[in-house]
Amino acid sequence: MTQKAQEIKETIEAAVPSATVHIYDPDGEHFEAMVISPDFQGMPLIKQHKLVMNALKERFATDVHALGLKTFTPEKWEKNKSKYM
Amino acid sequence: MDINERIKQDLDANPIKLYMKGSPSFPQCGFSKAVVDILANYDVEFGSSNILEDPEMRQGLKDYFEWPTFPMLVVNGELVGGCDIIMELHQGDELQDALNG
Repeated sequence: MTQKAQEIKETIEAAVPSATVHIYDPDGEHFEAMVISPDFQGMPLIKQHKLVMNALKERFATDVHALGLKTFTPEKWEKNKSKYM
Repeated sequence: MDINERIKQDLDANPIKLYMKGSPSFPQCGFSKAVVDILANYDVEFGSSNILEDPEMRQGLKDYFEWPTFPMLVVNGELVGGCDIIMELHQGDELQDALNG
């Protein structure tokens, strides 16, 4: 994992302390993150994404062009993980 | 005019509004293009603005919706989401409801 990807991972983990975070970094500029957390339970998708995206807003203003994001509650992750792993 | 007033007026005039990089016929970012392509599957009319040509609007929208990236799809004044959320709603057959507001 590149240093930038590691920093993104740590920033998300700080914003959502109970989260498991997977980062995919194909080119050092366009990142993809999968964030799994029980905190997302009962939260609309837009709120889940806001929590993660706003933690990274300074990076978006500087050196991160885009972050593909998928958020999951642990239940949703169990149902869907075969698609991703 | 205050930027928040400009945004409100724009949203009043456009029940479905896509703030994007480029235009629907010439998107300048893959994520903006992806949302335009998804919306083409639905029988909806939407307004769009190229935020690359309007720096005040670009920053104003980020503050207004507390959302740091583009595209942003807004229905009846509420932010539905960016590319990932629109794609997930589309794949889960939930986007039509979201577009109905």
